[in-house]
Amino acid sequence: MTETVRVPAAADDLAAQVSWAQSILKFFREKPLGAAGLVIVLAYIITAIFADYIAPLDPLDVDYDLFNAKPSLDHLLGTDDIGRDLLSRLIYGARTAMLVGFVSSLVGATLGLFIGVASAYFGGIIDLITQRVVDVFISFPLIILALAIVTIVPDVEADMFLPEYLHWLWPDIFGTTLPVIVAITIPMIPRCARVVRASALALREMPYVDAARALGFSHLRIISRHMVPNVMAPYLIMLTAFMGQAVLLEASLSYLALGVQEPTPAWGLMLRGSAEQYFRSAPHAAIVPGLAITMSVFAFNVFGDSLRDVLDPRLRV
Amino acid sequence: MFPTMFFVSVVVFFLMQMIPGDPVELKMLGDGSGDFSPEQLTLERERYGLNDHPVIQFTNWMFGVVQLDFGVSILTDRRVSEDIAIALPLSFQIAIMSTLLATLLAIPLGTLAALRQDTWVDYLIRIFSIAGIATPGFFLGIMMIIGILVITNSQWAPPFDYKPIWVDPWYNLSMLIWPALATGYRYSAVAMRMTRSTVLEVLREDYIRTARAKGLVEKIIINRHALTNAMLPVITVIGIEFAFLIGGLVVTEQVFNLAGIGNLFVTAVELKDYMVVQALVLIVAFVFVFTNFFIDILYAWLDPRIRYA
Repeated sequence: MTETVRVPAAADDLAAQVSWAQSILKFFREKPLGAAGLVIVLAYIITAIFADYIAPLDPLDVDYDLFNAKPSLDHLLGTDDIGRDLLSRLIYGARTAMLVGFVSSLVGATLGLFIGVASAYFGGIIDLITQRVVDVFISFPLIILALAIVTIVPDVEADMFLPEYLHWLWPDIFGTTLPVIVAITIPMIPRCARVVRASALALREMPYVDAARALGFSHLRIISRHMVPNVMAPYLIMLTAFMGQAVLLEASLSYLALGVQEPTPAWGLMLRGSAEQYFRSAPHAAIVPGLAITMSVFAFNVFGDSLRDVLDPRLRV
Repeated sequence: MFPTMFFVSVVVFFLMQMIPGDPVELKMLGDGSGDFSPEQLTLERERYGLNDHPVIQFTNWMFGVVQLDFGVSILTDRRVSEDIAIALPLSFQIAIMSTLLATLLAIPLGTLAALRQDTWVDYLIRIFSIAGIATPGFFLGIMMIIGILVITNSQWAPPFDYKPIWVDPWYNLSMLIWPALATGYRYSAVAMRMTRSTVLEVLREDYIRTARAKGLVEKIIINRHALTNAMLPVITVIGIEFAFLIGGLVVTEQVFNLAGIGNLFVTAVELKDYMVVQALVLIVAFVFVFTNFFIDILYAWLDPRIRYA
């Protein structure tokens, strides 16, 4: 791994910006597959943000005359078993999936980053204890730990902690997805902490860290200003790897009816029900949300893989 | 290994203590139809030892676990170990079958992809494996059932009730091959990627160049020199994924309506039957710790560098 020491010079900022744009261009040229993944991810994000404008109908609206309708002009993908528009549910499902995917992987990886760096920086008994805790939490498969945690975390509605006029700060989707987000975040923290710690151990011996310590900087400052910026490569790699996993995990939990709860639109929920039943009524009702999950995870993964190739080819996730 | 196992037990136990709601109240007043006085509830709690200090409860539970007794489910009053013993053979068989499938697919295909790096063969195999990691097991299962229904054009579906393979091999395999494939695909995809990247790495080593320079047949170079050394990380991945198979089983068993460990786990989580959840989480984690330990020993046996280090 190459260690890059950041030079905090004002004159470099402009140059840094140019190289940013250049490096993105270079990424697109050298890693077309990864770039395609990035484009798909962006498409999903845009769908998620502007779901209100893209979706033709309200995803919660029930049409009592049309159960399991075939695709038509009114309902481009048909309706589900209680008469809700499938296309709208699919589009709003992107919002749920992206929210859970981004929040849980960001929080999980970032907490892991700081725990990992702190563990390496302090060393000794603190490192030992942290690593034992990490060992314990890594012993559970992601989905098993997530399932165990999801039962513990309650839904948090806006009126539980915010006055009426501030309810817009906490949309309902936050409340209903919170248990899933927490359940997915917690198992990710130790996985990231372990990888980051391995890279941070080498940094601890770097002269500039010694220098920072000799200058009497606080631990917090050394960790966050001197060590964290230099473990960005493994952090970003873990982050992109987690995003795909988080989307997949959310879909699995929802499929098991233990994740996002009805009537919130979620892809995993759309796949509930027996396959024989789908086959008879409408196979596409199962195929389309399944493909939506697969494609988003695929996009996250190819993007993450290419990013890893660019940033740190030796690291395996 | 044993310290990790002990702390795993502590974490599992106290995680379960955090589940909101009292299990006895959930059981007796759950649907609102029961009418019990607080004294009766206390008595019932006493019966399960829930009034003891958590540390004492934990100690009692640990003594049981050591004797493979995971306590009594408060919800169903059945012994947890008996429920697990019923569900285990089915899941274990799927696990073995998917491991075999995964290994048989992953090692040849991964090696092939590495040998033909950056050709269409490599791309095809890589897309196959990335798709495997991205496809959720339940979606694959649903597609399989729909596919079976389309091809057979009938009402046939994989059977539900488990018969051991030595009783009725054809019935058993026609039932379990599908969930094994659905779980094994992802598994093989992970192992395939690992095989490809380690073979690529090994092929760049000096001793491979030496072997080529002295004119060895390519087949011997690959089989004897490259593969034996590339296999170590692959074995780790196969082992770790085996320990994590239960995660895949949780969803696939749901799709195929199979009464295995995964199904038991999901039902227990739904009902907040925490003695069962606790037992299963613990078993899964123990399997992981054991597998890691076993891999370490296997490593030492396979790799002389570790044995003599």
